[in-house]
Amino acid sequence: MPDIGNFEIFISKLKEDDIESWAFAYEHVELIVRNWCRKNKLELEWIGDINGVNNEGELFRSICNGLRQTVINENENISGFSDYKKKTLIITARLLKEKFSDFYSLLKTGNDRAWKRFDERLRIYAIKWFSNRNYQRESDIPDIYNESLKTMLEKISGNKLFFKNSSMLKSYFFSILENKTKEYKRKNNFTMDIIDDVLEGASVMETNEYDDTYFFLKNELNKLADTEQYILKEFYMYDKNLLHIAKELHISYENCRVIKHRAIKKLMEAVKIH
Amino acid sequence: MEFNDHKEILEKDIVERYVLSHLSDDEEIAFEEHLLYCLKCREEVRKMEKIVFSVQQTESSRIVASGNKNLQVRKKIRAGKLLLKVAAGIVLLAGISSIIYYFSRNGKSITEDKKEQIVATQIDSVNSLSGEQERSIPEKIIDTIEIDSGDGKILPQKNKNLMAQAFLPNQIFENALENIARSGGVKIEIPKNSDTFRQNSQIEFKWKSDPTTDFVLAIFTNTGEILFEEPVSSPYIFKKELKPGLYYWQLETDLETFYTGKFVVQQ
Repeated sequence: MPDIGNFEIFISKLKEDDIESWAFAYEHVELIVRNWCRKNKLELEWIGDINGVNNEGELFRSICNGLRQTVINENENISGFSDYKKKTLIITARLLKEKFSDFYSLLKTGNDRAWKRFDERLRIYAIKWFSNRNYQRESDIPDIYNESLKTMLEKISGNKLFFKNSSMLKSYFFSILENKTKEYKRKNNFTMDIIDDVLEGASVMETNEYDDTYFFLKNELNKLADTEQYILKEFYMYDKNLLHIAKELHISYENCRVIKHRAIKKLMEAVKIH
Repeated sequence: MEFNDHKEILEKDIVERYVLSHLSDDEEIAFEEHLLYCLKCREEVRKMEKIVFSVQQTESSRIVASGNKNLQVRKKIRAGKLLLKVAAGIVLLAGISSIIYYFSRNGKSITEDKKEQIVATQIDSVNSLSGEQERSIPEKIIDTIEIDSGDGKILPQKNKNLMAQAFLPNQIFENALENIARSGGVKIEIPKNSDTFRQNSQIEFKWKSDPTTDFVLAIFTNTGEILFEEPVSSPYIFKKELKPGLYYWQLETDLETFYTGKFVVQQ
């Protein structure tokens, strides 16, 4: 780690084009950009260019190059950490907009990898969406989700729609999902033939581009006690607070908190070793 | 605010709250500056991100898998149902044939007094999807054009009015209308959301805001296509001619959208 005592030293090292400091900045940019995208409901992975979908590393490199341009070539004055963060995020917003536009073009042309990426994140939100609406019939969810995805593909391929960013694209999908759910409730016995064909296709989409750590963590999660698994799932997937979860499990809040911390600690240790 | 003490970071679950976007703005800035100097916390953030993602993915995979399990079960049930339907069809056919044979042998016909209602049931056909596409933006059929078939008959022909589509609301923008960004306000003077302009008229945009904020004005069609996107200051007069339709506009900075509004252009 470079010898960075404070922010002023950090910026002066960046201006000197110190390689170690820029490598350090790259790692830091990764974290703050991820956080900003999470808060603004933007998808970092829905990015591409004319050659296909991009990985996040390429985006972060581009952001750092932009930052380098700002700090060194343009010799812009950076008055403090807030200013540094703001400049980083302005560059990010611009790049993300361009890359999302290319990703959306890939979706429109039915690019497989783009659709896999799209589905991977969307299904998590869809399940949360159903949970927030207290939709009881869990077995219906894949049907409705896949039917909505099919409709989405038709609409996008029809070339009539434009989306400024990934957040708007998601909003559009959820408006389709809402309509499909209402329709499903009304005519509960619509044919399974077409849906099942789509669902079979969806099971192929299980093969995702996960890195090794995901599969490792999945195994580690399964090794946790049932209560630990339940608490983590309800907290991180369904956004319930610990008080609510504690009531469901008929345990005290403090007990619930301790169990959760213990589970996280086990997983953190496991990742460290891995 | 500063985070120099890891004890505080641990006690307040700062890492987890950061990953879940539960920190206040001040806490977030302070923690991100701390991340500049602290490798340990960076590592903790990365691990926490992976853990949260794994939990979410595991749960979503479980639900998809339960749907796939149902798929196998449903396929078996469907096969069984099909067999039953075929068998029912054969029995029905046999039944109808017997009735017809009975009446033809006895010379009976169905009289007004003895009406024997033959309830014919149709074999249920598998309902297919109607082919209607679910539309989140419904198309309205406005005009009906009548076509002369040439032999004196008038054939009605429905025609979808493309003009009407240009006025259909876009749900995403409708939901965002008058949304004021939390980082600061902007007071819009004109245009109001109810305003309508003639096709060849200029449209003035006027607002009051913090003078240090530089805004970009973006104008969209109702399908979300960006027609105009440039840095502007208040007041701004948009001079390009717009086709009749519903339009949305936004005032935005590099990082957020401050205001969403709409207006209509008529012929």
